[in-house]
Amino acid sequence: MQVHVYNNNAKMDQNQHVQPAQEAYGENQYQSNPVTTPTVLPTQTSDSSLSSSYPRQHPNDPQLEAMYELRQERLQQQLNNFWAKQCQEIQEATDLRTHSLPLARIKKIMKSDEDVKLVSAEAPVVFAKACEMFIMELTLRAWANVEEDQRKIIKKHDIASSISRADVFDFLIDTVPRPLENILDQQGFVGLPTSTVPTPLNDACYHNPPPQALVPGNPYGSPRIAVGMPILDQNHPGLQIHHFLTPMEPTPTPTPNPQNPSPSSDC
Amino acid sequence: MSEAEELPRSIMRRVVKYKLSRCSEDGEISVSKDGLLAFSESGRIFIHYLSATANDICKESKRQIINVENVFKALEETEFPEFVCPLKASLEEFRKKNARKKVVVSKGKEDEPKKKRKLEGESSDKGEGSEKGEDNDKGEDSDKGVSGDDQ
Repeated sequence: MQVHVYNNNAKMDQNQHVQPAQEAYGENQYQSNPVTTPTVLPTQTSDSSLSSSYPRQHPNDPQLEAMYELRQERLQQQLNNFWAKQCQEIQEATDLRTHSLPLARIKKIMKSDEDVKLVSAEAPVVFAKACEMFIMELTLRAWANVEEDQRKIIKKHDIASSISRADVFDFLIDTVPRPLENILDQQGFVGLPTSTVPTPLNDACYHNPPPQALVPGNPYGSPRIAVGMPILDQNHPGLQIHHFLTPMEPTPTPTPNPQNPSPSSDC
Repeated sequence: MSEAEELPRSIMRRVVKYKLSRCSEDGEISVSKDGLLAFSESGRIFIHYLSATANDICKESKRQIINVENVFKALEETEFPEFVCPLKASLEEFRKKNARKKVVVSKGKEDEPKKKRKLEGESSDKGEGSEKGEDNDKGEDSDKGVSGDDQ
């Protein structure tokens, strides 16, 4: 029994001896390596960095020295050419992302028309690109409209006005209808007072039939009386005829009479 | 109109923003929600309009399948002739990409080991082999790149 206990103690002693070593190793794990080479970006490469990567084996031999320098020059030139090409490609690449519309969705839209039955595989591709170009065209026209008004946000009425200006977009007139004030604005009717527009039904007074008109035989009154119809009084101010759909013309300014000049007071 | 028929707004926004970034130097111009909806609706109606015109042209030439050439003619009829040249270029690009894909797929199939096929060929009779061949031929003929009426 004693031997058995002794063995256990020995094992425990071994474990105790091992633990500090493990801790020490763990501490070293997170320490930075003191012997590290500084990283050099490809754009920052210089002759010194290149020469450090290729150590000279024969510094005394002039022929090998010349070959080494030639190789270094070539390497540097290749590197410069490579990065120049990369920069040029980045500058030229405008279409970083292709905005292709989903072909299945386009096919669905086409098939929603009952007359369209069969569509070739390449047709939706062309439709997607055509739709994209069409949206760009419409955007350009809407942007021009926004620029005129010196605004920063494209709204629905900008698109509507750009549609109404071009005959090509006539098929969209019902889709994006223009607001009434925009139409009046284009025709020169803006700034009219609201009182000029006649409202006969609002101003006309309604009356109920007199009580004697309702006879027991005819609960709805005499057939000659129209119940609930407005009495249209021609002298009513709201029913005067106004020619409000003619553009307002500027009133002619009276020209001063040259024979009777206005008396000017001389001080 | 169901949402399934609407063009995705995210792509529409991307297209509009891309064009605006090319137009305005500041890039500060943005699009309102109703404006984006109007763009999306306009695109949908344009597809309807173009497909109807292409379908009419297709019927005139006594064919059932709407072809790419019908679409180009429809664009000219609907007074968008300036779209035809860039669309032809993009179609050529699409065809080239498809050709490359087909080459890659065919190479991949050739590289695969054919042990299973050999084993099947040994075990199967001649009649079964001929039936399989017929099936393969049918499969090749049926793939013509034409989608019928799914509805």
